[in-house]
Amino acid sequence: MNAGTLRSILQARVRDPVPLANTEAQYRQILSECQRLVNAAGRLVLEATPFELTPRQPLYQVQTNFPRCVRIEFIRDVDNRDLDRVDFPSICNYSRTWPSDLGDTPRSYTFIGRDTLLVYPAPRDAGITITVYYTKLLTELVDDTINTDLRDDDLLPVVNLAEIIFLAKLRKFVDVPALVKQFTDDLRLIDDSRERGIMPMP
Amino acid sequence: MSQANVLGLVALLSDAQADATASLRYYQDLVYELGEQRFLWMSNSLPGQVPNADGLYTLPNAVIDMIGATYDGHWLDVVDQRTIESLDMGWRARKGDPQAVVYFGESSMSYRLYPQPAQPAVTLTVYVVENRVDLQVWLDLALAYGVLAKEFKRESTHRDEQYAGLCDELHRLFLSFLA
Repeated sequence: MNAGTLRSILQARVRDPVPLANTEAQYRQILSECQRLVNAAGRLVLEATPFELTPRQPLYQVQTNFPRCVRIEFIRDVDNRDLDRVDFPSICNYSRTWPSDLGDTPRSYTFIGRDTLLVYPAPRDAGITITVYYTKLLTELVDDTINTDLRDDDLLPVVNLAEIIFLAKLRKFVDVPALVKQFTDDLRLIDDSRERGIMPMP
Repeated sequence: MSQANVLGLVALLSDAQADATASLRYYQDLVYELGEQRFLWMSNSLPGQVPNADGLYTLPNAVIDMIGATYDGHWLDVVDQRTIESLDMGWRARKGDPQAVVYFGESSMSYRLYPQPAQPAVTLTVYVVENRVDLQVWLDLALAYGVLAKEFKRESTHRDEQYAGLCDELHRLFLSFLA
Protein backbone atom coordinates (compact mmCIF):
# COMPACT_ATOMS: atom_id res chain seq x y z
CA MET A 1 0.00 0.00 0.00
CA ASN A 2 1.35 3.44 -0.78
CA ALA A 3 1.63 6.40 1.56
CA GLY A 4 -1.21 8.29 -0.14
CA THR A 5 -3.73 5.49 0.48
CA LEU A 6 -2.58 5.08 4.07
CA ARG A 7 -2.89 8.82 4.60
CA SER A 8 -6.46 8.85 3.21
CA ILE A 9 -7.46 6.02 5.57
CA LEU A 10 -5.97 7.86 8.52
CA GLN A 11 -7.60 11.18 7.62
CA ALA A 12 -10.99 9.45 7.38
CA ARG A 13 -10.41 7.85 10.79
CA VAL A 14 -9.64 11.22 12.44
CA ARG A 15 -12.46 12.94 10.50
CA ASP A 16 -10.18 15.33 8.65
CA PRO A 17 -10.53 14.24 5.00
CA VAL A 18 -9.78 17.64 3.41
CA PRO A 19 -7.40 18.05 5.49
CA LEU A 20 -7.79 21.07 7.77
CA ALA A 21 -6.44 20.15 11.21
CA ASN A 22 -3.04 19.08 9.89
CA THR A 23 -1.23 19.16 6.55
CA GLU A 24 -0.86 16.12 4.29
CA ALA A 25 2.89 16.21 4.99
CA GLN A 26 2.25 16.05 8.75
CA TYR A 27 -0.07 13.05 8.39
CA ARG A 28 2.55 11.36 6.21
CA GLN A 29 5.35 12.17 8.67
CA ILE A 30 3.51 10.59 11.59
CA LEU A 31 2.56 7.54 9.48
CA SER A 32 6.22 7.22 8.54
CA GLU A 33 7.27 7.30 12.21
CA CYS A 34 4.53 4.82 13.14
CA GLN A 35 5.46 2.27 10.46
CA ARG A 36 9.09 2.42 11.61
CA LEU A 37 8.12 1.97 15.24
CA VAL A 38 5.71 -0.90 14.53
CA ASN A 39 8.29 -2.64 12.35
CA ALA A 40 11.03 -2.15 14.94
CA ALA A 41 8.80 -3.48 17.71
CA GLY A 42 7.24 -6.32 15.68
CA ARG A 43 10.36 -7.33 13.67
CA LEU A 44 8.21 -7.62 10.57
CA VAL A 45 10.44 -6.74 7.61
CA LEU A 46 13.79 -8.49 7.59
CA GLU A 47 16.76 -7.96 5.30
CA ALA A 48 19.79 -10.21 4.76
CA THR A 49 23.29 -8.93 4.06
CA PRO A 50 26.37 -11.08 3.33
CA PHE A 51 29.26 -9.84 5.43
CA GLU A 52 32.91 -10.84 5.12
CA LEU A 53 34.68 -11.08 8.45
CA THR A 54 38.10 -9.54 9.01
CA PRO A 55 40.77 -12.03 10.13
CA ARG A 56 41.53 -11.85 13.87
CA GLN A 57 38.77 -9.30 14.50
CA PRO A 58 35.82 -10.36 16.70
CA LEU A 59 34.08 -6.96 17.06
CA TYR A 60 32.11 -4.95 14.52
CA GLN A 61 30.06 -1.76 14.87
CA VAL A 62 26.48 -2.55 13.84
CA GLN A 63 25.45 0.92 12.66
CA THR A 64 28.63 1.36 10.61
CA ASN A 65 28.45 -2.01 8.88
CA PHE A 66 24.65 -2.34 8.62
CA PRO A 67 23.27 1.20 8.38
CA ARG A 68 19.70 0.05 7.65
CA CYS A 69 19.64 -2.34 10.61
CA VAL A 70 17.27 -1.82 13.50
CA ARG A 71 18.14 -5.06 15.30
CA ILE A 72 20.12 -8.15 14.30
CA GLU A 73 17.78 -11.15 14.51
CA PHE A 74 20.01 -14.07 13.51
CA ILE A 75 23.23 -14.89 11.68
CA ARG A 76 24.04 -17.82 9.40
CA ASP A 77 27.38 -19.15 8.22
CA VAL A 78 28.33 -19.98 4.65
CA ASP A 79 26.69 -23.44 4.99
CA ASN A 80 23.41 -21.76 6.01
CA ARG A 81 23.72 -22.94 9.62
CA ASP A 82 22.56 -20.61 12.37
CA LEU A 83 25.26 -19.25 14.63
CA ASP A 84 24.30 -19.66 18.29
CA ARG A 85 23.16 -16.48 19.92
CA VAL A 86 24.52 -16.32 23.46
CA ASP A 87 24.54 -13.59 26.06
CA PHE A 88 27.69 -11.61 26.62
CA PRO A 89 28.48 -12.88 30.16
CA SER A 90 28.37 -16.46 28.81
CA ILE A 91 31.13 -15.67 26.31
CA CYS A 92 33.19 -14.10 29.11
CA ASN A 93 32.59 -17.11 31.37
CA TYR A 94 33.48 -19.50 28.57
CA SER A 95 36.70 -17.73 27.68
CA ARG A 96 38.26 -14.65 29.24
CA THR A 97 40.52 -14.57 26.18
CA TRP A 98 37.67 -14.22 23.68
CA PRO A 99 39.21 -11.02 22.21
CA SER A 100 42.17 -13.04 20.96
CA ASP A 101 40.63 -16.51 20.44
CA LEU A 102 40.77 -17.68 16.81
CA GLY A 103 39.02 -20.43 14.86
CA ASP A 104 38.39 -21.73 11.36
CA THR A 105 34.77 -20.58 11.37
CA PRO A 106 32.60 -18.62 13.85
CA ARG A 107 30.17 -20.61 16.02
CA SER A 108 28.32 -17.97 18.00
CA TYR A 109 27.64 -14.30 18.38
CA THR A 110 26.54 -11.78 20.96
CA PHE A 111 26.50 -8.03 21.53
CA ILE A 112 28.31 -5.58 23.75
CA GLY A 113 25.41 -3.20 24.13
CA ARG A 114 23.43 -3.08 20.93
CA ASP A 115 25.93 -1.32 18.76
CA THR A 116 28.83 -3.75 18.95
CA LEU A 117 28.52 -7.20 17.38
CA LEU A 118 30.85 -9.88 18.75
CA VAL A 119 31.43 -12.88 16.45
CA TYR A 120 33.12 -15.78 18.24
CA PRO A 121 35.68 -17.03 17.59
CA ALA A 122 37.24 -14.55 15.19
CA PRO A 123 38.40 -16.24 11.97
CA ARG A 124 42.04 -17.06 11.65
CA ASP A 125 42.07 -16.40 7.90
CA ALA A 126 40.39 -14.14 5.35
CA GLY A 127 37.46 -15.23 3.18
CA ILE A 128 34.95 -16.17 5.89
CA THR A 129 31.53 -14.74 5.04
CA ILE A 130 28.44 -14.79 7.23
CA THR A 131 24.91 -13.65 6.39
CA VAL A 132 23.37 -11.22 8.83
CA TYR A 133 19.56 -11.08 9.02
CA TYR A 134 18.18 -7.97 10.62
CA THR A 135 15.00 -5.99 11.06
CA LYS A 136 15.17 -3.34 8.39
CA LEU A 137 14.82 0.37 8.98
CA LEU A 138 11.84 1.17 6.75
CA THR A 139 11.97 3.81 4.06
CA GLU A 140 10.66 7.20 5.10
CA LEU A 141 7.30 8.07 3.52
CA VAL A 142 8.38 11.38 2.04
CA ASP A 143 5.66 11.48 -0.63
CA ASP A 144 2.37 9.76 -1.43
CA THR A 145 3.79 7.48 -4.13
CA ILE A 146 6.14 5.60 -1.80
CA ASN A 147 5.02 2.09 -0.91
CA THR A 148 5.50 0.90 2.64
CA ASP A 149 7.48 -2.32 2.99
CA LEU A 150 4.95 -3.68 5.48
CA ARG A 151 2.32 -6.18 4.32
CA ASP A 152 -1.23 -4.85 4.25
CA ASP A 153 -2.11 -7.17 7.17
CA ASP A 154 0.49 -5.42 9.32
CA LEU A 155 -0.72 -1.90 8.61
CA LEU A 156 -3.63 -1.94 11.06
CA PRO A 157 -1.44 -1.19 14.12
CA VAL A 158 0.30 1.55 12.11
CA VAL A 159 -2.98 3.34 11.37
CA ASN A 160 -4.24 2.69 14.91
CA LEU A 161 -1.11 4.26 16.37
CA ALA A 162 -1.28 7.27 14.05
CA GLU A 163 -4.94 7.73 15.01
CA ILE A 164 -4.00 7.70 18.71
CA ILE A 165 -1.38 10.36 18.07
CA PHE A 166 -3.69 12.72 16.17
CA LEU A 167 -6.64 12.25 18.54
CA ALA A 168 -4.34 13.02 21.47
CA LYS A 169 -3.01 16.07 19.63
CA LEU A 170 -6.60 17.31 19.27
CA ARG A 171 -7.18 16.47 22.97
CA LYS A 172 -9.94 14.03 22.01
CA PHE A 173 -9.11 11.63 24.80
CA VAL A 174 -12.35 9.62 24.95
CA ASP A 175 -11.41 6.92 22.42
CA VAL A 176 -7.68 6.90 23.16
CA PRO A 177 -7.50 4.29 25.99
CA ALA A 178 -9.38 1.70 23.87
CA LEU A 179 -7.13 2.42 20.88
CA VAL A 180 -3.97 2.14 23.01
CA LYS A 181 -5.18 -1.24 24.28
CA GLN A 182 -5.97 -2.34 20.72
CA PHE A 183 -2.51 -1.23 19.55
CA THR A 184 -0.79 -3.01 22.44
CA ASP A 185 -2.79 -6.19 21.82
CA ASP A 186 -1.96 -6.09 18.10
CA LEU A 187 1.77 -5.88 18.80
CA ARG A 188 1.62 -8.63 21.44
CA LEU A 189 -0.26 -10.81 18.95
CA ILE A 190 2.50 -10.29 16.37
CA ASP A 191 5.09 -11.21 19.02
CA ASP A 192 3.17 -14.31 20.18
CA SER A 193 2.64 -15.47 16.60
CA ARG A 194 6.35 -15.33 15.90
CA GLU A 195 7.21 -17.26 19.04
CA ARG A 196 4.75 -19.99 18.10
CA GLY A 197 6.31 -20.15 14.65
CA ILE A 198 3.17 -19.04 12.82
CA MET A 199 4.87 -16.23 10.95
CA PRO A 200 7.27 -17.35 8.23
CA MET A 201 10.90 -16.63 8.95
CA PRO A 202 13.42 -16.49 6.09
CA MET B 1 19.47 13.58 12.60
CA SER B 2 17.54 12.18 15.50
CA GLN B 3 17.67 15.26 17.77
CA ALA B 4 16.42 17.62 15.05
CA ASN B 5 13.69 15.17 14.05
CA VAL B 6 12.56 14.62 17.65
CA LEU B 7 12.34 18.35 18.27
CA GLY B 8 10.39 18.73 15.01
CA LEU B 9 7.94 16.06 16.21
CA VAL B 10 7.62 17.83 19.56
CA ALA B 11 6.73 21.09 17.78
CA LEU B 12 4.19 19.28 15.59
CA LEU B 13 2.53 17.28 18.37
CA SER B 14 2.35 20.28 20.70
CA ASP B 15 0.92 22.56 17.98
CA ALA B 16 4.05 24.69 18.42
CA GLN B 17 3.20 25.31 22.09
CA ALA B 18 6.36 23.61 23.35
CA ASP B 19 9.20 25.96 24.21
CA ALA B 20 12.15 25.18 21.92
CA THR B 21 14.84 25.82 24.56
CA ALA B 22 13.06 23.77 27.22
CA SER B 23 12.39 20.96 24.72
CA LEU B 24 16.08 20.76 23.81
CA ARG B 25 17.02 20.55 27.50
CA TYR B 26 14.37 17.87 28.12
CA TYR B 27 15.67 15.91 25.13
CA GLN B 28 19.23 16.05 26.49
CA ASP B 29 18.01 15.02 29.96
CA LEU B 30 16.07 12.12 28.47
CA VAL B 31 19.05 10.80 26.51
CA TYR B 32 21.18 11.02 29.65
CA GLU B 33 18.53 9.23 31.76
CA LEU B 34 18.39 6.42 29.21
CA GLY B 35 22.18 6.14 29.41
CA GLU B 36 22.02 5.95 33.20
CA GLN B 37 19.53 3.09 32.88
CA ARG B 38 22.18 1.41 30.70
CA PHE B 39 19.95 1.69 27.69
CA LEU B 40 22.64 -0.07 25.79
CA TRP B 41 21.95 1.19 22.33
CA MET B 42 24.34 3.91 23.48
CA SER B 43 27.39 1.65 23.77
CA ASN B 44 30.71 2.48 22.19
CA SER B 45 34.35 1.39 22.29
CA LEU B 46 37.25 3.69 23.12
CA PRO B 47 40.52 2.18 21.89
CA GLY B 48 44.03 3.33 22.75
CA GLN B 49 43.44 4.40 26.36
CA VAL B 50 46.60 5.83 27.97
CA PRO B 51 47.12 6.25 31.75
CA ASN B 52 48.80 9.13 33.60
CA ALA B 53 52.00 8.59 35.61
CA ASP B 54 49.98 7.18 38.57
CA GLY B 55 48.26 4.55 36.41
CA LEU B 56 44.97 6.46 36.42
CA TYR B 57 42.93 6.57 33.22
CA THR B 58 40.53 9.42 32.46
CA LEU B 59 37.33 9.00 30.46
CA PRO B 60 35.82 11.57 28.10
CA ASN B 61 32.97 13.67 29.52
CA ALA B 62 30.43 11.98 27.25
CA VAL B 63 30.82 8.67 29.12
CA ILE B 64 27.94 7.75 31.43
CA ASP B 65 29.01 4.28 32.57
CA MET B 66 31.61 1.57 31.89
CA ILE B 67 30.79 -1.90 30.55
CA GLY B 68 34.28 -3.47 30.57
CA ALA B 69 37.60 -3.51 28.76
CA THR B 70 39.83 -5.65 26.62
CA TYR B 71 43.49 -5.76 27.61
CA ASP B 72 46.14 -7.73 25.78
CA GLY B 73 43.57 -10.14 24.37
CA HIS B 74 41.68 -10.58 27.67
CA TRP B 75 38.28 -9.32 28.81
CA LEU B 76 38.23 -7.35 32.07
CA ASP B 77 35.02 -6.88 34.08
CA VAL B 78 34.26 -3.64 35.87
CA VAL B 79 34.23 -3.51 39.67
CA ASP B 80 33.58 -0.51 41.87
CA GLN B 81 36.02 0.84 44.44
CA ARG B 82 34.07 -0.44 47.47
CA THR B 83 34.04 -4.00 46.12
CA ILE B 84 37.75 -4.11 45.35
CA GLU B 85 38.60 -2.61 48.78
CA SER B 86 36.51 -5.26 50.50
CA LEU B 87 38.42 -7.95 48.61
CA ASP B 88 41.94 -6.51 48.73
CA MET B 89 42.86 -3.60 51.02
CA GLY B 90 46.21 -3.15 49.28
CA TRP B 91 44.78 -3.25 45.79
CA ARG B 92 46.34 0.04 44.64
CA ALA B 93 49.87 -1.32 45.13
CA ARG B 94 49.31 -4.66 43.36
CA LYS B 95 51.31 -5.30 40.20
CA GLY B 96 50.69 -8.01 37.64
CA ASP B 97 48.48 -8.95 34.71
CA PRO B 98 45.24 -6.94 34.94
CA GLN B 99 42.14 -8.94 35.92
CA ALA B 100 39.57 -6.16 36.31
CA VAL B 101 38.84 -2.49 35.81
CA VAL B 102 38.19 -0.43 38.94
CA TYR B 103 35.77 2.36 37.96
CA PHE B 104 35.53 5.32 40.34
CA GLY B 105 32.16 6.40 39.06
CA GLU B 106 30.65 9.26 37.19
CA SER B 107 31.91 11.91 39.63
CA SER B 108 35.58 11.33 38.84
CA MET B 109 35.29 9.85 35.32
CA SER B 110 38.38 7.75 35.93
CA TYR B 111 39.46 4.14 36.42
CA ARG B 112 42.46 1.95 37.17
CA LEU B 113 43.48 -1.52 36.09
CA TYR B 114 43.73 -4.14 38.84
CA PRO B 115 46.42 -5.26 39.33
CA GLN B 116 48.41 -2.54 37.63
CA PRO B 117 50.52 -3.76 34.71
CA ALA B 118 54.26 -3.24 34.93
CA GLN B 119 54.17 -1.66 31.47
CA PRO B 120 51.47 0.80 30.37
CA ALA B 121 48.90 -1.01 28.27
CA VAL B 122 49.12 -0.37 24.57
CA THR B 123 46.18 -2.62 23.67
CA LEU B 124 43.59 -1.36 26.15
CA THR B 125 40.11 -0.68 24.78
CA VAL B 126 37.26 0.25 27.09
CA TYR B 127 33.57 -0.29 26.36
CA VAL B 128 31.26 2.38 27.67
CA VAL B 129 27.75 3.72 27.72
CA GLU B 130 28.01 7.22 26.30
CA ASN B 131 25.87 10.30 26.04
CA ARG B 132 24.92 11.20 22.48
CA VAL B 133 23.30 14.01 20.55
CA ASP B 134 21.48 11.63 18.22
CA LEU B 135 20.03 8.23 18.98
CA GLN B 136 18.72 5.77 16.40
CA VAL B 137 15.94 7.22 14.26
CA TRP B 138 13.35 4.55 15.04
CA LEU B 139 13.41 5.80 18.64
CA ASP B 140 12.34 9.29 17.57
CA LEU B 141 8.64 8.92 18.35
CA ALA B 142 9.34 7.38 21.75
CA LEU B 143 11.75 10.20 22.61
CA ALA B 144 9.39 12.89 21.33
CA TYR B 145 6.69 11.65 23.72
CA GLY B 146 9.21 11.66 26.56
CA VAL B 147 9.95 15.32 25.85
CA LEU B 148 6.24 16.16 25.48
CA ALA B 149 5.47 14.52 28.83
CA LYS B 150 8.01 16.78 30.58
CA GLU B 151 6.98 19.87 28.60
CA PHE B 152 3.26 19.62 29.37
CA LYS B 153 3.86 18.72 33.02
CA ARG B 154 5.87 21.84 33.89
CA GLU B 155 4.37 25.13 35.05
CA SER B 156 3.51 27.12 31.93
CA THR B 157 0.63 28.72 30.09
CA HIS B 158 0.06 25.47 28.19
CA ARG B 159 0.33 23.05 31.12
CA ASP B 160 -1.92 20.01 30.46
CA GLU B 161 -1.59 17.17 32.92
CA GLN B 162 -3.94 14.87 31.04
CA TYR B 163 -1.94 15.20 27.83
CA ALA B 164 1.34 14.94 29.80
CA GLY B 165 0.11 11.70 31.38
CA LEU B 166 -0.83 10.21 28.02
CA CYS B 167 2.52 11.28 26.52
CA ASP B 168 4.35 9.63 29.40
CA GLU B 169 2.29 6.43 28.93
CA LEU B 170 3.10 6.34 25.20
CA HIS B 171 6.79 7.07 25.85
CA ARG B 172 7.05 4.13 28.26
CA LEU B 173 4.95 1.85 26.03
CA PHE B 174 7.10 2.51 22.96
CA LEU B 175 10.34 2.00 24.87
CA SER B 176 9.02 -1.27 26.31
CA PHE B 177 8.37 -2.55 22.78
CA LEU B 178 11.73 -1.37 21.47
CA ALA B 179 14.07 -2.24 24.35
